[in-house]
Amino acid sequence: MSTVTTEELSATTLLRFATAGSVDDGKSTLVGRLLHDSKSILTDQLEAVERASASRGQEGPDLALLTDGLRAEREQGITIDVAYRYFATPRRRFILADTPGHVQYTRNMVTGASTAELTVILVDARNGVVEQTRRHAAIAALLRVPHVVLAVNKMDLVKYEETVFARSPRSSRRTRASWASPRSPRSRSRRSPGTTWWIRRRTWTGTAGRPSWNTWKRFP
Amino acid sequence: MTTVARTEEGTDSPYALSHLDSLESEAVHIFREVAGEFENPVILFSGGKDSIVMLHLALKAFAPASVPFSLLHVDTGHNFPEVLEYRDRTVAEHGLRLHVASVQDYIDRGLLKERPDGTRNPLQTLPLTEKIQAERFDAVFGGGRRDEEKARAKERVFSLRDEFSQWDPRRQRPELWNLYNGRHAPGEHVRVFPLSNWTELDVWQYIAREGIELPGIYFAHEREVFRRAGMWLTPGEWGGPKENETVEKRLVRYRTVGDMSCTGAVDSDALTLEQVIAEIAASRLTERGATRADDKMSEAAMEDRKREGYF
Repeated sequence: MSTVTTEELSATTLLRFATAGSVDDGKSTLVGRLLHDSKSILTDQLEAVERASASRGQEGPDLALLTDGLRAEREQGITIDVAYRYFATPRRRFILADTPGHVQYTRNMVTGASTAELTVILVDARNGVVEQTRRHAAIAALLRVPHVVLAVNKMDLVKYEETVFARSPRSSRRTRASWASPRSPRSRSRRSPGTTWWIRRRTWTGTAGRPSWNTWKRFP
Repeated sequence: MTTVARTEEGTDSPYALSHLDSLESEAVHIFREVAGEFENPVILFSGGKDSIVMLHLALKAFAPASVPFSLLHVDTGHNFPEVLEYRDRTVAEHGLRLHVASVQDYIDRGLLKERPDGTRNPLQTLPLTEKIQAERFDAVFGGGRRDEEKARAKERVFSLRDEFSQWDPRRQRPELWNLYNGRHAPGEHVRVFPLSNWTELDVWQYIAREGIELPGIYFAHEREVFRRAGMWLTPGEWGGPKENETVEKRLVRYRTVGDMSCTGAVDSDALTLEQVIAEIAASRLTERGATRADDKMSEAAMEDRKREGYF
């Protein structure tokens, strides 16, 4: 964490947040990217990931390997149990719970989301809001997670179609209507679409700009 | 625990707890939960910084009463003398009861075999688990932190071990909010990690804030060391230095404290807590990556050891 300044050392508040969403919507990769952009992946961790990715025959480092720490997870390329990661920005400390998307591991998602003050629900732009997305939104509401963000992912695969992007919040509003989350009747994506749009863009195209964690530190 | 943090931009409430306060109250809550739920808990105490902070939190959780747990040290026989001295002094000072599980004893009795590489870290599992069974400990506090290692990042605060002390990462229980489930069958026990959500930096900042005393090896000192696999190791009867390894005197400090045979020192001139905190904040290596040979054995070295009953 060479970017940590004295100001950062005195950062006093703590935000606990969790990822959610269906399987293969890119939760672990988002987390890996966030850690990468906040420069909280240390040299030896990145080297280990690069080594592991290379031995699996992948071209670039698979950032999901940063959080998929169990042998079974790495072999199957899925997240089975919740993983916790820690990073800091000048304003606060973050505890991030990366949760599994598979239906049969939903109980582990519940564990991760229960302590979160903010849940980021990822949606694959190609598939839109699917059953598991709704299930996770419902669980977040049942757990009384105060803030929910809907992040549309893999926009590059739909050629950045604005209409595709707009569809997800609309269909998630229907979900929300049935599950009225306590303190966040509207997700961020509706209130300020640019945020989600921007998260999506930053996360997957890797163009120059503010690192993604500049967004996170302003939540909730 | 009730200190009010100064208001930060971006927070709504002037009554928000600072990050150290919220970590502290989480840990204190866990200690009290265990005291309420279990018959015979024990704190694993190695004399390293994490277990020292853990003991400090336990003292705080029950003060002015005494800590209702005993301590357990798994002694590899390759201890830093400063750490042993610290351990005994602390035990005497707080009137605690100390159990020792000795790896050397197991080797002498022929129950464990010295490894060819001389490291005794993986050998700690058997003495630890047998001690837990013999003393019928039902809750065992460990100072493991999720930021240390990717397998530890997956573990619950209350982590069930079966009657062979094994961890099954695929069958972890749900753990909601701050409700911890201590249910276990006879013979099983629960490992409890009150420092789960702490980072190395948090631990050091807490040590500085609370004025906790540490063994001297955590600060820069002159030491005879030799280089092996990118780490500075102390020479000793565990097989070092070999022919092509030369011993030199360097200014070093330890980031972690474990078995002397596999715990490496780092080059450092940090003499005070403030200097150590600045050094850690600027470090580009994780503490285990920089100092532990035992984690470099394979990709899932920690998970494999944990499954067998390791800390």
